[in-house]
Amino acid sequence: MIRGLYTSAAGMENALLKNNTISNNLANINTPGYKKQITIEKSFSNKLLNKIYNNVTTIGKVGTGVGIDRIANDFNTGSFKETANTFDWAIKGEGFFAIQTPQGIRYTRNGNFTINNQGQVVTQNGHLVMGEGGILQIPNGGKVNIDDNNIVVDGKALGRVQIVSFANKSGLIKEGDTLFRRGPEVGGTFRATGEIVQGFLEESNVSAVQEMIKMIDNSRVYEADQKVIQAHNDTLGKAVNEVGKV
Amino acid sequence: MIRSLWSASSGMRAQQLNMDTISNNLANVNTNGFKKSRVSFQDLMYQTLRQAGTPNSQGSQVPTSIEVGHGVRPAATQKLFGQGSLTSTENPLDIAIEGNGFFQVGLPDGTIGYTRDGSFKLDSNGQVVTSDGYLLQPVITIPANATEIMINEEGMVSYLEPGNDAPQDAGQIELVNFSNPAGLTSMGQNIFKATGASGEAMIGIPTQDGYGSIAQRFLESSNVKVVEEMVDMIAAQRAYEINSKAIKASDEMLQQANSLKR
Repeated sequence: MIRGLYTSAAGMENALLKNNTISNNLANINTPGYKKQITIEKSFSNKLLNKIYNNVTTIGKVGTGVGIDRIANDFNTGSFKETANTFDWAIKGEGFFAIQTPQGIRYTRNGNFTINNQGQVVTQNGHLVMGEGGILQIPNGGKVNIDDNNIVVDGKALGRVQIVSFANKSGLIKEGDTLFRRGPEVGGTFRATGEIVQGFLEESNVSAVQEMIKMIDNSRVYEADQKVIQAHNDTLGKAVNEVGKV
Repeated sequence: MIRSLWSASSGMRAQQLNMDTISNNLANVNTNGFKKSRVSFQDLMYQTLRQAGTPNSQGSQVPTSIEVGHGVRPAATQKLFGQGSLTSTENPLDIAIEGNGFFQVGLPDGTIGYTRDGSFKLDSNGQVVTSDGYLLQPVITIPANATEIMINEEGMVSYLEPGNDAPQDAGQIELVNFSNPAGLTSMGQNIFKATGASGEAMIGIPTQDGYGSIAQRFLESSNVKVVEEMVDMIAAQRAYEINSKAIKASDEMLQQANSLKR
């Protein structure tokens, strides 16, 4: 009886957490380079029920509820949107830009860059975008083109933009500002095959319809769990107040 | 639970800013040389509920973490410098830039502003000025008795005097370019100013070194495309709505939690 209460409560807790993730996806529906998150659930371990009377007999198993196994990032590519800006770069295909932040190198698919007063390519937060040979420095003057991930100014190649990928992308951890950092499981880093498309931004890969449906589904699960708790409560109430009443 | 309320409200606020920007684009759909803006967003910080690498009950380590995000924030409003369409006018001092570059304009505070609005006029001294009376730089003077003003693609300005068939030279229109025009800031009155993010102004002659060419008797319209903005407006409105739905769903869930104990 009481176990059922906790099982349903775990279901409600779980739906709450899922709701947070859905809300965050919806809030970032217009964030370039945003990768949506998916909540993956797991059931808690089943408990074996035994009857202990004279000799032990197994009655059966009972579940003890549900929990969040992990929140996975969905790395599907978002659609590309044209901006015609020199420093808006989308990656066609596989890979991430490498960004130098005060906390270390971070990775992003958000190619919404600009240059700073020293002529270096930076993110909108002012963090340096890394090239394969270090910082990307734009000389003052000339038209900046990207050719095969190389920055070309006035026909002169100035260095290749670093586009990297990982043995296990699911090991990347979200950090905000559309940046990812390496988790312990991410494995080796290698040069990715993706190609920069200049003048485009990769949009968020959140699908409004999908998130809406998840939200409705989740709300109903929450509601159902709440009903089960109330049913349990009613039954308990009967047991406490009515059984034994003369 | 409360997290999702905040996340969704940050989404609503972000879409409001998006709408503000789209409205301003639409308001300037007929402004000469206007360049539309876009808001660019970033996701907010993440809270780690479980670190990857935490030992689990089976004695091994969990390979993945659980992180929950906290919504969205605007990172920048960026100007988009796509070319606006050219409209033909009868005015000889209407000039448009086809391609890259800006006109230089002397501002009252002594600094230089940059504009794509080429609807120039003459002031009482015969100098070429903007509609607000700011001098085109370098200064070009046309005598009062000039019968015709000619401006070629390279920006050479000349005029004809009565009784003289040979065109007289009035000066050269120079253009200015930036490594990153998206870093310019808008001052209003169709004028941009240089910032650290735009890079330094590089002066050049039209049609040379990647600078655009000059088209006389044309004006560059705004690069706002009504259909595109309308579609963006619908998207922004729906994104606003969907975030309000998320708030409502969260609120209903809270309400149900409250009604557990009757």
